[in-house]
Amino acid sequence: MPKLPILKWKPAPPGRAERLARWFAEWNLVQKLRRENPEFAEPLRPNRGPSDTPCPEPEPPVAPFAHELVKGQIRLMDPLLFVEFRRPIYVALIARWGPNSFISAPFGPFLEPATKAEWLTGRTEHALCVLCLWNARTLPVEVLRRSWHVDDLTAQELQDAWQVFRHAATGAELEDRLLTQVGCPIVHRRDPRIAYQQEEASLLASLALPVLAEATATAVKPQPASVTLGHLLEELLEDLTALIRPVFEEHAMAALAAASDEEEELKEVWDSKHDLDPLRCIVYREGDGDLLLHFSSTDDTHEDHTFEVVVKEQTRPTVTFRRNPQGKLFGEARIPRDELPEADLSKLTFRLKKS
Amino acid sequence: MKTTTWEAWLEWKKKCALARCSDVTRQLLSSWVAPQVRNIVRSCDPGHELAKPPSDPAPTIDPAWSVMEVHFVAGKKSVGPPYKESLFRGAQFEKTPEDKCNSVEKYFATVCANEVPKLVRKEKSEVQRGREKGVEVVSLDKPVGSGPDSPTFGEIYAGADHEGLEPDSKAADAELDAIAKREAEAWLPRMSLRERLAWGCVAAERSRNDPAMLKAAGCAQSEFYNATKKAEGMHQFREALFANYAGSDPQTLRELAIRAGSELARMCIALLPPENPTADDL
Repeated sequence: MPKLPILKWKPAPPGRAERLARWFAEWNLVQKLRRENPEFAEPLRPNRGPSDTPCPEPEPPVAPFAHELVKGQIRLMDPLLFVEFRRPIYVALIARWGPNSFISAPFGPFLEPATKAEWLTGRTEHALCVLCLWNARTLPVEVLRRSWHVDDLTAQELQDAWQVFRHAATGAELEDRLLTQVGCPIVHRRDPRIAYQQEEASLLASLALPVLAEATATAVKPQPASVTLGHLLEELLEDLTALIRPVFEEHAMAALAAASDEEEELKEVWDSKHDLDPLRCIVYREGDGDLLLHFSSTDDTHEDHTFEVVVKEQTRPTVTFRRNPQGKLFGEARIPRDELPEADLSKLTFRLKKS
Repeated sequence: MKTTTWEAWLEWKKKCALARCSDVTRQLLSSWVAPQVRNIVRSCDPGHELAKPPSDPAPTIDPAWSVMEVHFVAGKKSVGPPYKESLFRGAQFEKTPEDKCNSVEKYFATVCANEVPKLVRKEKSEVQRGREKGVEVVSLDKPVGSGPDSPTFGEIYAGADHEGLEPDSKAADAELDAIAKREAEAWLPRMSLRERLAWGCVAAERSRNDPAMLKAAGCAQSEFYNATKKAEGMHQFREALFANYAGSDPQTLRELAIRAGSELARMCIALLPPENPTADDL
């Protein structure tokens, strides 16, 4: 009978199985509560106020947001940014990413790390126990400024968080010390942690770069209508089916693997499962601050039609719809940063006018 | 029944802790939050101290409130606890004091629902650790979920119980790769075309109803579905490997099964019809 060669394995760090068992105990407890109590399962859908004030600045009695953003900050995000509210969302700014965004990782909902890309910070506060580096995103500063600065990562914490992030993004090995502070990898296809990750991944999806707003726009109806980014964002938040991929996923990996934490390159990563009909507009904020508007549609009536993008009654470059190789109608327009009338993008209005 | 008021919430926010608030506010907020916390605690752990009614029927501040006030707090930078800003944020868009009050209550209740299980779980875990003198017992046979198909802890953990290979195992690693490839190549001719397509379909997570797939397999949908069910896990192949190499190191044998299975999957996937066939393909 043939014998196999002997492989020598590095042992798993001590306590990995116990940690995983504790994570499952937490997860199963939450599932039980969701099953038994419909109200517990029901996340709060924040009321964002009247439609003419989609993104207002805070007024008393709420303290103003802290606008200065620095790498290493821990920030509590404005709950109104999210489609649903299940818990206060804290994020750590682990690296600057281009001039207008930060790689930001959310803190997780449990006291134990779920996977090898979740890191036990060692902090005693429940909300800051576990940092989910697998769920890190490039979040634009406009979004991040809608948050309160609650604490800072220490230099060591920041360094550790970056190492775990690089492990998640590039597969770089973790040093032994950190191996004892992360969770257990997922190797089974029916592991419940996959469902957990899907739930958590959708959390920051709507906030990630490059999409600032995405919705079925009404701009190419018989009477051209005005659309604000704020409105688009509202619609997106109300009817979100788009999942913006986390920065570490396959197609972005090469860029991240080569990048240092100070690199200025901004990698655009997005994916969408939205229906395209009749017209979809995606607004990108580029690294230099220019706005890039991508319009797409499946409606044949837009073919070979040219529209002008009008921002605050000033006509901007035209958009001509052409059919791309995938059969979608597609057009784009760029608005340079210095021509943007509003510093606050949420108040920017644009519409399409048929040429 | 409404028990809190907007004024009470404002006072609590302004004065930081409930202990500094007026008697009315203390009573209102404390008696509103306590039943909610207790309900969750009771669901999580009926024996927990907080699940029981307080010994003092009218405490100045219910212990349940104190627990929440302590555990909500995170971070040291802000003057006031920032979570309060988060709780009050939604109220800004409400017009009447009643609606503002409702908004804060809803946020508060949602945060409670998230925080209380953590607290209970943490305490329970510490109690258990204490009882078992620091030794935690993990049952490998226990399902990790509640559904009937839930994998066991042992299944989830298998393959995650090590951290890669030692550097001096490189030669053995390459040899195992070669054995895996050889075993897969030897097994492939023993599979019918339908079995190969079924295994490829499972491995590539392709639709089992794809007409092109059914045409290539030469069978009806139900037959192909049964073939894919049989293919899941590749039990026959695994059993053959385990029998052939019985007496080898179990962990290495398991690794061989994984590698040979992947190799076989790669070969079977290569046989699948295109995913979006043209009329000519059909």
